[in-house]
Amino acid sequence: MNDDDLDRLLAGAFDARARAAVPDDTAPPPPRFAEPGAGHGRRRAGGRRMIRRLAPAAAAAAVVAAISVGAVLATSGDHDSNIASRISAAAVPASAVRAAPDAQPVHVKLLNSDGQTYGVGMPVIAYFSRAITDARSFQRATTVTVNGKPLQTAWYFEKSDAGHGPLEAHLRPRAPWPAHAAVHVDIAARDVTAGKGLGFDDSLTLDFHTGAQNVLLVDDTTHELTLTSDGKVVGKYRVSLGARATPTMSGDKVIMDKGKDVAMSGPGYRDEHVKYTQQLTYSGEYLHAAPWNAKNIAEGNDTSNGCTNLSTKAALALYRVTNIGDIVRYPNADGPKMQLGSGYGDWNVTWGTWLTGGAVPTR
Amino acid sequence: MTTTGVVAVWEPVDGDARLSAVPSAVPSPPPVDLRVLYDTHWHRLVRLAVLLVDDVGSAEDVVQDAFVALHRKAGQLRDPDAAIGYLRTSVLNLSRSVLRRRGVARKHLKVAEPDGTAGADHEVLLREEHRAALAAVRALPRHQREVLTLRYWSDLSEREIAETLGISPGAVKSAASRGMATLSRVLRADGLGGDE
Repeated sequence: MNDDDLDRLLAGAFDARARAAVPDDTAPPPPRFAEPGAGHGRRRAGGRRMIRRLAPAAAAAAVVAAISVGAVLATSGDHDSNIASRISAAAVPASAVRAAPDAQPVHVKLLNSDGQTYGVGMPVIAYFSRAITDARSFQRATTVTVNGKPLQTAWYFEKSDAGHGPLEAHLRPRAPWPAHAAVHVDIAARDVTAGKGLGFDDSLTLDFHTGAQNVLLVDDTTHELTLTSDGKVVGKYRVSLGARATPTMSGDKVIMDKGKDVAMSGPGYRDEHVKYTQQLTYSGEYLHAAPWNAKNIAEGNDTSNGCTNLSTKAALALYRVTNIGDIVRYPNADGPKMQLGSGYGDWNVTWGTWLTGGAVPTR
Repeated sequence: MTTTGVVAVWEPVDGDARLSAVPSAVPSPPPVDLRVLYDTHWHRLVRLAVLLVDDVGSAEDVVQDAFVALHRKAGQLRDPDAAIGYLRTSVLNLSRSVLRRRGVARKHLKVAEPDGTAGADHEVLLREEHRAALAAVRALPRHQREVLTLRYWSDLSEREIAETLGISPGAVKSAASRGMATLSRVLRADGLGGDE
């Protein structure tokens, strides 16, 4: 039996089995999420609890249970989108200061997900349930390895508008992560002090991979975007950047999110189906296909509301190659300088400034 | 402007980092309509679950639970593609839990094993070669079975499978090739291969 035969046999067998079990004319039952009480771990008929839902505080106490239901926790845990929060039973690190027994709990969550492949510019982003006042022990409790070797990284704190608590912190090395690498982050923060009267109530780990070293360089003089991957130029694409009244911000940005088909609107326009979008700032700068703007893209006229307009072909080519976390550089765009909080503005901050810890001192 | 050297030079020009709250000029896209997702993806997801857990009842439960989990975060979900990916990953994880519970029940209660033959009612309708292929897939290690199911039933790329399972593309590749090698051997021994 050759590979093609086996391919066909498997596809045919799966298809026949799936359709025999669930014929096309089967009507779906009423969705359970539409019933009252859905989403709160209700009991099913028969008394078997199908959804395990661990409140964060209970989760911390239930390390053993969490290990046995790890796979379930990953999908039905109490956390918001993409937030990985795993429990580790490590003791307070020697260099960190233990919190007082009556300290108010501070809970930490991560934006990043385990098992993901991120671009080399992706910061690890933590959200804090309370504003902490001392991050020195948190910094000491954090260790990072890349392919098993330790790497120096530092946290930088800022007020957060992301809706996950009052404060967020970004963790990054001096230069972007090595490409094609396995990164392990260990945050042994449980019972560590977060300032006077404050202590962390959880420890977390994060494991992710980095993809190729993709850099998207957008030159507002030549109106060209150059994609470099692992040091090789992969392609050059024509762009139209922000018009004079709505200039594109300058500096280094990071791809925050990707979408194949996104509704966008702003002053004077609304489009339900913008294709191959890659978000760069909270204010709404994207890389995206703009087939309606082909002429200005070809001629290099800056006409957008701040977005980087591309032909559909170019937008798709980029969409296929990039990872969330890839760096997009705008060295000479007309707009204001990209700030840390404008998006993932991490790479606009010098390492010296970064090491201070920002809003909460780390040293 | 040249592109050479850009990769190596990372020190930013301006180190003055200010925290700024930027007003949102572009309203977020509307939240994903869960009911529409449910109606359009129910068949496909239940079928995926059936191929993993072997019986329709458990498969339907798995899909209901996956939607309940998604429902909890539905307010923030704006990308239908992401929602489908999330559902798929949930189906995989919840299917594993079903199999694990079944394994535990078998061990402790010594009840008759239901799953080996659970699909029999539907499988009598299948051709002999398909039955043999499904039996061989069922005998594979869990990871290999999942990878092959996502590849040949869900038509996912290596990368999408890696994202769904939370493993590296390399791990997907090796699980697929090991699984295919085993299937090829087993099915040839069954006499289905014909001559080489």
